[in-house]
Amino acid sequence: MIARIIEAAGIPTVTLGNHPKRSESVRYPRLALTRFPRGATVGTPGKASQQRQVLEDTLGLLGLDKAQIEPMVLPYRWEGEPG
Amino acid sequence: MDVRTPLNPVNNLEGFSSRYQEWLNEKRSLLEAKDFNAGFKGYPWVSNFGTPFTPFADNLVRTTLAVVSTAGLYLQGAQDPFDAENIEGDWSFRELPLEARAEELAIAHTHYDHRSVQADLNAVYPIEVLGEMVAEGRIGALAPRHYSISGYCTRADLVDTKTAPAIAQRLKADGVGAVLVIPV
Repeated sequence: MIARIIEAAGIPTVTLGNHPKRSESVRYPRLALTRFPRGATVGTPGKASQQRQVLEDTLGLLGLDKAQIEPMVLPYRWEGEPG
Repeated sequence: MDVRTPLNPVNNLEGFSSRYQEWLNEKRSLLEAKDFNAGFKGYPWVSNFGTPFTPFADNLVRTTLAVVSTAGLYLQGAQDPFDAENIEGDWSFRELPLEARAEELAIAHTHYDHRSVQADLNAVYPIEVLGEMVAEGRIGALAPRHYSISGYCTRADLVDTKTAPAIAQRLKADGVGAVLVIPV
């Protein structure tokens, strides 16, 4: 919801989350979802290359010319302890 | 439905106050007993219609980026922690200076497993990795201030009317061109 207020104030936002159901009713302008455990949305601790890829993909959504209908679900696999 | 004009109101809080009070009165004892599964049944989740959209007309390599995190981070010793015991959560926010190091930040949010973020702050607040992207010329700059709230906050109305506008004002003051929001 904060993203929507910032967006409406004139600053583009992109959201990176991992809770598809909650995200659906909020309606983010740009949304990427990872499948990582809660508390590690960006990626496996210590895996900078994975985190970097997640961020590159997420920030790439800034190039969209209209709000998404469906979020972009990122394919990366958790490489840490079972969440 | 996409809308390219500002929505008024931006978030659909019609009827929220009365539904919220009804929910809180009914579930207070469950929340106080930390039975959040049962306590949150019937919570008046905000369901929005339409989506605000501001086109990103620039290039990321020339843009100042800021992060908004809901991980409950705060500057230990310099800022008060979020109220993690209040059953209604905490709608305040903290400014996190760009130069804040991982060891200076603490977490006041009891509703998620902290092990990953304690091992590597980038798992929820990737300032370091974003800094590398700036150094490589992928992002123009990182803002001098970033923002932290507690993801456990039941007062959607206060987040909407107090927290978010205050953050938006500061983002504009810092010339931020794009914002990465990372809820926990």
